[in-house]
Order: sequence, then structure tokens, then C-alpha cells
Amino acid sequence: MPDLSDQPGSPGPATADPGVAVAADAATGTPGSTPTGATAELVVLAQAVAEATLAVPGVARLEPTLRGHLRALSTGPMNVIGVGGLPDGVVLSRRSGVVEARIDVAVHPVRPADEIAEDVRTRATALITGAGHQVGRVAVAVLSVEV
Amino acid sequence: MTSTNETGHDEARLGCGRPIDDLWARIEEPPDEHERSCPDCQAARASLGRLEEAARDLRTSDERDPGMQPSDRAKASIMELARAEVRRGQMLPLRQTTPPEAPDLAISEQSVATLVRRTADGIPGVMARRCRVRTVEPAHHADGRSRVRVELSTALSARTRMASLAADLRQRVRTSVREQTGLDVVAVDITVEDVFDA
Repeated sequence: MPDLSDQPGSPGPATADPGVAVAADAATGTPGSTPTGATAELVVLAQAVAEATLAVPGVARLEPTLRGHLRALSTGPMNVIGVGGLPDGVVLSRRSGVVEARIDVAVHPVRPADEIAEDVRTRATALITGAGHQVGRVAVAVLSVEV
Repeated sequence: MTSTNETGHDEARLGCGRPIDDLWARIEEPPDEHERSCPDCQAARASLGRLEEAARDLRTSDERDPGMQPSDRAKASIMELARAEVRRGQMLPLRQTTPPEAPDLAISEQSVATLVRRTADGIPGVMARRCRVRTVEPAHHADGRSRVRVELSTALSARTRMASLAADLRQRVRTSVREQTGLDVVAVDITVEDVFDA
């Protein structure tokens, strides 16, 4: 996973593994800042979702998207912030207490992609509800089928 | 179909067959004759155009501060992002969901097209060219599986028997797409654009 935080003096990533982005409240959504409070909770949850996704049989990797990256630089109402500026693959957002997720993956054809995507969605949903959140839409997109 | 280019990257291609990297190399130029009429290239240009704008803004601000020049790693990262974004393209629903216009489980058309082209290229005497994959009505079976139609253009060897080849190609495409994606291919439209000596 590419590391864009390679400029002198830039803050290091908040987690060891890149590939997650979290929507924060307006008050805390400063790109590159250290997440705190509710945002930090979502960061931890997003990391857990990312790890659970990678553990699903057939998932090759989380896929980066330009949209996710650009969104991480925005400070709109959704306020998606990047963890260390690397918002790829897993995007969590919270509105009115409901957590939604979007997960982009590449898969190996060890089994049909629809089964893999369904498993990813099931595990992500379980993690979100297990963390005590109300879960909304959990969308999984397969962007590549690797040989 | 993918191939490895000089930089070692798998050369991802759009549904029309044009390499994504070629399109990126020409993003600051006006669209050529093919791109002006190709929906795949037009969609990709729109996506890459936004990236090019962001990159241009970055270059402008960086010109004032040489210390902020993006590293080669950062530039490579941006290209990986661009390739991944174009790979997204049109999304096909993997399973029936509510609402149907925003499927919770989806797969990129390009990844399915790549799979089809790879399957076709595996048949002696067949060279896959453009491939499009579309949902059909009704979009789902009773069990929720999505139904799609494949449009594949090819070049064939002059030695091939087209009737038996077409049947073989259709069966292989249906099988590989079902096994690797779960999608049900209800039709495979094959167009022979060229014949080659082999």
C-alpha cells in the first residue's frame, strides 16, 4: 500500500497499516491531525473492519480509490479524514448515530466474487454492531479479480 | 486482457481495449478520433481529468516551494490510484439489493470484461478485443443472482471452425464468469472483426 506521508515534517500515520479512512464530526475532522474521541473510536473500528476484510478467504487486498483519497482531503459535512493521509479501501461514515461503510477490494477467484463480497459485508456488519453502533448501509465493491 | 508494460505494471485496459496508461499520457491533449466516440474513453477521461486538475494545482503550489516536490513514490502512488479509479468504471450488481440502483454488493464491469477477455484468449485461434458487460431485464433470478449479457469482439484464426468455436467460447465464458463472480451470463454476443493467418 503506497505511503504518501513521505514529506519532511509530515505527521506519521496514526496506525501502522494504511488503507482506512473515517468520517469524523466537523469539530475534529482536520486532515492529518491525530484523531480524538469519537473519531478515534471510528478509526479503531475502521482498522478492525480492514483487518477482518483482509482475513476473508478470497480477498487479495483493499483497493485504493481516487474518490476516497480526494474525499479524505475535504472538510465538508461528511468530513472524511485520512489516517496518516491514506484513506483507501475502507470508508466509515457516521450520520445521526448510524454508521455506514464502503469497502473496496480485489479478490482471487478461489470462490465466486459474490460469496466473497457477502462474507466481507457480514463480517463488517458484525464488527460495527458489536462495537455498539447502529449499522446502516454496508457496501462492498469488487474492483478486480486477480489471477 | 492485461500485459506487463516496461515499468512492470500490469497494463490495465478499458472496455474498448485502450490501455489506461496511454489515456493518462494524453490527458492534457484533446481527445483523438477514437476517444471522441468511445464511451469508455470518455468516462475514463472524466475520472482522470479530475486527477489531472488536482495534480496541476499541486504542481502550481509546489513551484513556489521546491521542498514540497512530490517524491517518485508519491507520483507512483497517484498513478496507482488513477488506475484503480478507472478500473472502477461502471459497477454491476452482484446480488439483488434494495434499492436496486445502489447495490450493496457490486463488481466493476472492467474486472468482468478482463475475465471474459482472458477466457477467450485462452482458446487457440481466438484473440479477444473489446468487451462490454451489461445487466439485462429482469436483472436478477429468484435467488438474487444477477443476470448479465456479454458483448465480445474478436479476431479469429483463418483455420478456426466458427460454428463450433462460437459454442465453445460461449460455454467457457458462461462457466468462468459464473465460477469466478457468481454472475449468470444469459447471452454472449460474439462479433468477429478480423481474421488472421495462424
